[in-house]
Amino acid sequence: MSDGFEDERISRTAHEYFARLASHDVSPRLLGAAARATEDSGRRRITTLSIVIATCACVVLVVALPVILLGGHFPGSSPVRPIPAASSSASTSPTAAASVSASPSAPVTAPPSVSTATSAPLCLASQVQVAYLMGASGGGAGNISIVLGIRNRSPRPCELRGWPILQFLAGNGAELPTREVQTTSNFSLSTNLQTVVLQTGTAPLETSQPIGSAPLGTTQDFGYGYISIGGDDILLPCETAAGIRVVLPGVRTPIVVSLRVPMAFPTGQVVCSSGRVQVLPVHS
Amino acid sequence: MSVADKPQERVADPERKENFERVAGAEVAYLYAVALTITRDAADAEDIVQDTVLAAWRSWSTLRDPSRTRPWLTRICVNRCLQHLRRSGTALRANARLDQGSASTDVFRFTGELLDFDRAFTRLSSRQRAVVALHYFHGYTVAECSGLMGCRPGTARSHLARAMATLKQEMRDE
Repeated sequence: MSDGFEDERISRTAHEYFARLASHDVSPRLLGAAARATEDSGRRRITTLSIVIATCACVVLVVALPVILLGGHFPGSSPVRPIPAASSSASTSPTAAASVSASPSAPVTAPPSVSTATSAPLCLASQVQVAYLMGASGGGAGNISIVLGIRNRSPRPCELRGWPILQFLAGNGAELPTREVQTTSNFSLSTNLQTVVLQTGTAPLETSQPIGSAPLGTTQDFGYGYISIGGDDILLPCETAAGIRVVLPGVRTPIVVSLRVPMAFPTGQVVCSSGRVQVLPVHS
Repeated sequence: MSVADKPQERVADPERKENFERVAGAEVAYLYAVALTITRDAADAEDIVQDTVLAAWRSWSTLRDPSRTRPWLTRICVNRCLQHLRRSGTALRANARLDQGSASTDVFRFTGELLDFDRAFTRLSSRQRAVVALHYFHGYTVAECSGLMGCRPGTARSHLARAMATLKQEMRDE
């Protein structure tokens, strides 16, 4: 039997099979599920509150009982405890790889890395152009994907390695909630931590190239770097980000990139879930 | 954290409650079909839909666009189906009881090719089942399936290809 015929047969059978399953009557009990959910939830909240209050009461009782019985002193403790002096030096936590925080929104995780050889000096902010690539961005089924392109506009090659620090910005420049999760895999893409060498002589990046043109991994993207950001556009609270401030890995000066696209997204990109986004390391 | 920071904990106002009951109530039959086509078990599908609606109510105030209710509910439902299949090992149990006939699908009275397909379908992993049902019956593209299942499009495509290979093989052997 030919593959095409077999595929067709399976597809037809699958449809008939699922149609038979889906034609099963919904039970009357289920039809009231939405109403029951709102009631159950209220009841559960009251129950939870009662448990919390009961637990607190028990803890207070257990702590207070010896004090009451022993005339105000805990067994084996002195009546007045010395209060330790406040430490003047802040504790220093170990710095996670590639998480140089330049924004109030600290990255959440730093996954394991895969190292590659280096061959050029680190890029400076003045050397690079960063632009929002509408054609490579997109989303679906509640997910959004924002891709930023990085181009070397200087006459010397330079390299980048690690995760950028991001901060979404409102139209008036105010900082919007941004919760950046550093990862190597998001809804649209996965990549390893890698050293990306930005080549010279590449064409300027254009934000509003038509959707679907110049997909990543094809001919036109050689020598560029990319930042892929995944998030959702469903769960509140949401904000419209007119721009994004990017601190490239190993670079001090932030770069502000516009997320506005005339005709398509004149006010910017909607970012939801309090600005929670999954960010991949700079990749080629 | 203040109460205002946790919208799902807000005391429900009657309008919000009514709105949820109307919108989610209209999707119950659809969600049941989704759950049933993935789990192929009426009782499990009912539990999953109940669970989905309850989870949706808890996060209802965080939904930005009411017109996106269906994809959002479907996503929750598919996740619940996958969790359920993983937890209960339904696929394994279903395989084990093939010789005795599947109690869960007896009500559907499958015969001939549909019975062969049913047996082949039980051989699939939970994710393979989900992508086959969502793509071949509910009409989602592979990219949309990946969004609903919380995986990358390439992964969903690979699940679908493997599922098709298994279905072909199993149906040839029947």
